[in-house]
Amino acid sequence: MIEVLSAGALATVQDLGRTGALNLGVGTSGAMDPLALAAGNILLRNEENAAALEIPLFPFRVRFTRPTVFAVTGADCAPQLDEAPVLPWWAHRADAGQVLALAVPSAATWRACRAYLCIAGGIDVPLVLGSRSTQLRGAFGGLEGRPLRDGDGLPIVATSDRAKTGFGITPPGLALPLEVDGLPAVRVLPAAEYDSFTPSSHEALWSEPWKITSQSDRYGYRLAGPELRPQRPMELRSHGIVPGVIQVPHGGQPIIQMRDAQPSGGYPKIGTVIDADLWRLGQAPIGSRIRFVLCSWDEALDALAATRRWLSNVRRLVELYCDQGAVR
Amino acid sequence: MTNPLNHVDQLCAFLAATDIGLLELKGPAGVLRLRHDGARVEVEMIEAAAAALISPPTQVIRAPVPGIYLDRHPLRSQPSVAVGTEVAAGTPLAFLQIGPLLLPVPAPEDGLVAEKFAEHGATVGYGAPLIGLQPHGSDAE
Repeated sequence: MIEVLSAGALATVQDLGRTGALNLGVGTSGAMDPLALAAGNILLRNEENAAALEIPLFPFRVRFTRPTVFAVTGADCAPQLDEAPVLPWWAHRADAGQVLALAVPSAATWRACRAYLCIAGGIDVPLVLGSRSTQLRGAFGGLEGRPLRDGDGLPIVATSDRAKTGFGITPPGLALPLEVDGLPAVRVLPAAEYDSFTPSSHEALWSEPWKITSQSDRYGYRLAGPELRPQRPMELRSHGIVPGVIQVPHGGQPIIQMRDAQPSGGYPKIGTVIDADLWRLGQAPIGSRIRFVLCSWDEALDALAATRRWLSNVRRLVELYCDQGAVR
Repeated sequence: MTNPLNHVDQLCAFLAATDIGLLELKGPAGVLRLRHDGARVEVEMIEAAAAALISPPTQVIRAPVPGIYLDRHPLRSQPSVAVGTEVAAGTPLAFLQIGPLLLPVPAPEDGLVAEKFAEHGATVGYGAPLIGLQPHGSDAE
């Protein structure tokens, strides 16, 4: 069991998401940085999809009520176990009663904003429609369908003690960097209404920095930048949308749909951030600026394959190290 | 068993054909140390009596596996430990990166970090000297 001592705000139980229920009007939810969650689980020899805690606001503190193997991935929150510093992206063992504290992320080498507390075995909350992710809009999944509160107790799936401690992995933010002019970048496919925007809007989309405003959360990121204009006013019927879709409402300032987006919308879509880059967006802090990079369908699939390759290489080396204590 | 001292030439030839940086054999007669810097092999023989005498107060921590030597965690801007830092046994002093894997170079015992031998970001071979540690107690004698 993990006992939440200081929940911050908006910390939730997440796995890789509730896919396959969009037809029921149920959005995907899931980790904003799925790569940090999957890599943390691989480090602890869990299934990639095991549920962990997503922590967006700090300080955050939990107590382990029994000996527990854990790893903190995502942003570097200078983790401390009973006030002694411990490493991020590293497998640790906590004794019963020890307290883990996470502080506001530092941005020494990788600017990120969300931390993931992964636990050997995973967080044990009931599966709803095949996922343990918290669906905030529908108030189901996760722990009672809500963000964590002080005093919450989170059960842990019983493990076979396969996890090893005392080693770590390199964060993908450093291993798979993508920047344009010194700013984090994400690759974008032009969407259905792309051709209906003015040439200067196209130019601005690809060549200007876009600021992530304070009106950004798990539902969507509202961006600030040059005004994007359609050639003539457009009225669309509501249609299906997915995380990554970049909508342009009448004000001309784009909104990127994120993990808790509703599954339908009616604003014109200028582009879609590719699936393989949603984790970069999930780690981009409020107030930071990002760039969009034009990408083809084939490049989007290659990017997804590259991410898969990185994860399977991590899995291969972790298993090799844990089984043999050696790496070749 | 044959005496390795009769096979130094053979051992040198073997070492020259590998990417192993150091071969150290300890026996009752002393220590045979072969260093391979990629081009040539240097032979050093320390007699047991001398070995006991010059036994350095500083313990050299060597690379347990080949990899990229990092003096700090990749997410940190400062080295994990500075020369002159007191460390407890088990503290990760540095890291070896193998692909995405990060392995610790832990302090084998309590002591004082006396010296750093490897450059941050350098590729190091098995046995390469990384850090000099002055164990507690050694300066008390």
